[in-house]
Amino acid sequence: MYGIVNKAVEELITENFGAEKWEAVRTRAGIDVDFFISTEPYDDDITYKLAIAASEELHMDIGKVMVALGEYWVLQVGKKKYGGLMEAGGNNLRDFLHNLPQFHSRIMLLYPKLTPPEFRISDSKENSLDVHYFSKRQGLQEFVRGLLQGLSKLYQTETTIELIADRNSGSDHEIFRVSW
Amino acid sequence: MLDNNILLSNNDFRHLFPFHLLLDNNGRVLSAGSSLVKTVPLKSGDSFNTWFSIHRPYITDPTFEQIVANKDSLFIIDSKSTPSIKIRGQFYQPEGAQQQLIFIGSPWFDSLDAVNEIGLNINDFAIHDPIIDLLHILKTNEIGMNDLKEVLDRFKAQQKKLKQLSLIATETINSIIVTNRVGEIEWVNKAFEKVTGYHLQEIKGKKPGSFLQGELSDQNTIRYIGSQIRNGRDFTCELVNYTKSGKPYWIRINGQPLLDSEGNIEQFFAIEEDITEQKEAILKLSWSEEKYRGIIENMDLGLVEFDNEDNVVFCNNSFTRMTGYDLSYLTGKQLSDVLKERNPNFEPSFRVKRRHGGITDVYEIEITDRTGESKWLLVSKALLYDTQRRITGSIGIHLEITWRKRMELELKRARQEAEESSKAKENFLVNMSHEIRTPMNVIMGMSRHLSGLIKDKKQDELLQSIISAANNLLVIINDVLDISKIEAGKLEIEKVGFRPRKFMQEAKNILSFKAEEKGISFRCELSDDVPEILVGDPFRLNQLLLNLGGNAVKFTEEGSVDCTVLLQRAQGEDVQLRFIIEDTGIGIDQDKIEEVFESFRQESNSVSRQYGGSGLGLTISRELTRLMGGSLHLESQKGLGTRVVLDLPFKIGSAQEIESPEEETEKTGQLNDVKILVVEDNLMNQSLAQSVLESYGAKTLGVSNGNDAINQLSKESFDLVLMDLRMPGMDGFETTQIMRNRLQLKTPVIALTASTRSELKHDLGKVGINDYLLKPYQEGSLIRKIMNHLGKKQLHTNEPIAREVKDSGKIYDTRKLEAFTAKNPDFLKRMLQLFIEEMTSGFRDLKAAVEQNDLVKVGDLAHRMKPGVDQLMITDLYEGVKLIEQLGKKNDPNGELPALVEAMEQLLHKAIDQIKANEF
Repeated sequence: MYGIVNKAVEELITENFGAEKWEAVRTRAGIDVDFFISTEPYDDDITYKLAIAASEELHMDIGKVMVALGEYWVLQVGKKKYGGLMEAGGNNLRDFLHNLPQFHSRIMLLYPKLTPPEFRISDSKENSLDVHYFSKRQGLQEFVRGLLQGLSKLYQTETTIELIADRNSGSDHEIFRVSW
Repeated sequence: MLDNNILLSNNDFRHLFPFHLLLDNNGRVLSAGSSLVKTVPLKSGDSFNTWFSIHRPYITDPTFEQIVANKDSLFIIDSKSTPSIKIRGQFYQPEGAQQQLIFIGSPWFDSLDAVNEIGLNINDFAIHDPIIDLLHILKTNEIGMNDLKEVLDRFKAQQKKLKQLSLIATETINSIIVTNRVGEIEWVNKAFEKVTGYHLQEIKGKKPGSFLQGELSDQNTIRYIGSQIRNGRDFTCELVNYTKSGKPYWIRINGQPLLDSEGNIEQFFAIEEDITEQKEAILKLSWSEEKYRGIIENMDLGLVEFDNEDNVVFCNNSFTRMTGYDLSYLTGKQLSDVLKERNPNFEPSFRVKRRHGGITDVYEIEITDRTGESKWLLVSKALLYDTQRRITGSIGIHLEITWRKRMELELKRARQEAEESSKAKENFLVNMSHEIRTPMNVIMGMSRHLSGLIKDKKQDELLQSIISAANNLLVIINDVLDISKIEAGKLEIEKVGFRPRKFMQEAKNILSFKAEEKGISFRCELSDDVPEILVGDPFRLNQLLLNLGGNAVKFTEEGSVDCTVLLQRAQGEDVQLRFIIEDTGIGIDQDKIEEVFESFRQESNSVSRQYGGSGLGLTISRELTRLMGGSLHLESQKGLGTRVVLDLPFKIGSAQEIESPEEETEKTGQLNDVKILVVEDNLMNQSLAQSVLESYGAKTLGVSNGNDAINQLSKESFDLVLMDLRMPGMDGFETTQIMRNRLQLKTPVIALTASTRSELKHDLGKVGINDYLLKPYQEGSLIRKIMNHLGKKQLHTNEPIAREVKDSGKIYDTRKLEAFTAKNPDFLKRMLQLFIEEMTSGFRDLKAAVEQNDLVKVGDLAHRMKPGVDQLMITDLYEGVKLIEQLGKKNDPNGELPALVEAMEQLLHKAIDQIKANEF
């Protein structure tokens, strides 16, 4: 994962629980990196360890940590750091979600060391669509849920996000039904 | 070469190039891409120049031809309606439509925000258009740059902090050593260099232990450090290091490994604090503690420490030795409870006062130790305080004083015995003085009396020998009594006024008579500058002169004895007289001079035999001289004579200090309206006293015993009481006590007594007797005392000195009686009659009591008779009656009473016969 993700974890914890808590999480995770360079790639393991450590340190369910991270990613990182990239992705939630697959294809070129997930959209109706999430990584579907929740908040659209298929249940990918 | 025709519809073209612009040769818009129209609301037929200006290439007034001419250039056109919009692209003239110009391009943004600002999104761009991606990359770079900036800032901050820490490390007074992972020095701070004397350059690369440690460095600690370093662990310990100059010093080391990011040891870091002073202080304290512990343990004082509840917390071995109780037994207990175990009556006398300022108690206690032995301890208790002056307990220091206490008790007992002995001695002296003198006086009196009766010359010669022997014996006896008094410390030197010339004359008379008898000349001269009146002890002075002069005469067979009195020194009222007695007698060997001063020593036995004497004269003289504050020197040459020099200090006196005879004055009623009770069992004395008092205007009542006195005192008030001390039944002491305690009377009481006991005054005072008069007393003394106690002015009384001068042939003398009876002949006769009656009946009773062996009664009767006999100055009879009294008290151990009573009765009859013959 690029440093920007780990930085998002750091900033999420620091902003909500303080720098000491972040240090505790970092120590618990056994991560010796003092500063994550956003544009530098880091081992995926670091991100996982940080997330687990955070969940232990904050006494939160790992899934909840992931959801919080996903929301934070959209609303803080995407908005503050990339200033408008999210908005550029579409005029509304539906358009953005439709552009999601293209978006991830673009960033593949921009972040050569990144193996981005693939998204597909299907069953697009007036008030719902299905977001298909394909990734080699395990355990990030809640992060995706967080992203979707974050996008909903970004576009000020009340949504219901339902995981209608996941790898744990025999599917080869996750499908989120987003309804508004 | 791929050269097939590309079939592209207008819609295809517009989808692929959403920002295109098609112009005719007049520059009018024929067609525009939908995304372009979104940003620039042009319509078909609008002039290009209306909506756009060409930024590059520089064409001021763009025409169709000019644009065509630049068709191979990169065009940047600005929107006139939205100046922020710049479109980058190129113009192209299609081969099949030379009258048209087509612009293919894409808006240029510097940020994704700019895209959003003009209302475009990703869908407004052709998928192949990388502008969004480029913007994304831009942003990413920007983010990256920001991170770098942040890293740089942090780095700078860390640099600064590091610099500060470095400064601290450099400047700290503690030594800091940084070594590599195997312990070789890489860096040391200034403090290290200063403390050790080693510079970094000379020790870099070395291991600290190779040059810092020495003989006193503990090997176990060194091994510990080494082990910790090898195992990559931190360590803390204290160690002795050595400076470059070899001086040892103590350090406390805190060392720890410094790890790299992978947890491998990179370096070791140690901070060394110089604790030499602390160590020395601890050592000193330890020595001091050890010293005081030693003192406490080894001192011969028992030390006990108590907590605030007085429970024992510590005791030393000495206390255990003293009491038998050890610390394990005493801990936590109250000491007083423990001490009560062996002695339930033990009373702890200490109370430690726990008020501010706390008090040290010192006291003695008697305890019974654990073995049952009684001991005395001197205890000193004091409070203990902490550094905040709060009381934390107390300590008691115990010194065993058993031996001292026993000594004290022993001394007390010895002193008591000595006092009793001294008292006994005094009593003995008083008694013996009378016991010896009295019979001596009787012997001498009888002898003289007999001498008057004996006609036979031979018998008279024998009698004279007896008298002479008795006189000598009396002298010796007086000497012995005197030396005993001196040794007992009972001889007192008077300080009265006297005329030295008069006393010298008297002594001269006696000595010159003795000298004349021996046929030697005697001269005595008094220097003119000797003061008229001196204050001192004339009687002892007389004794000295007679002793020394008498010796001079005694030991001179021919030649002379000269006595000279000089004024040696005068300073103010202090004078010193020098008495020089020189003789031409037998002298004394030089080496025997000191011996003659020793008691009972004379120069030799031959002198003793030849000259007799007790050998006490010079001893007494020296002691008297000493008591009088003078000095006595003796120079002598055997066969040539002796010179005695006596120096004595006196004070110059005045006429008032002389007890001169008083002028006769009229009695003027000084005791008018004074009511006096006379308590005297001897009727004659009672009558005499009353007569005297009444002559001064007093009203008197006489009673003969204590009971009557109490009865009278209960009924009426008196101004004063004259109380005879010795009365049968209730004596004067008891009577006065009842007066004071039961009757609560404060009437002055003057006792009349013949006693000369030294405790008399004390005993009188105990019962409340205000004053006393010794019998026989002088009228003037009596009246003066009464006036004193009644607060009246002193007066002169007509009181001729009662001198014991007898008429020749008469064994009695009425002068004393006359003094009391104010020469009233009738009263005198009455008194004489009373004397005859009382004495006659008294002797009758006396004889009967002797026959009945009622010796107590004998003593009482004799006592009562004494004053009467004394009034008539019948000396021999007086001494005899006194002796009877003494024998009566002592149960007549030798059975002398009958004969003595008989003899005294005979004497009485003689006196009575003479009285009857002379007075009636």
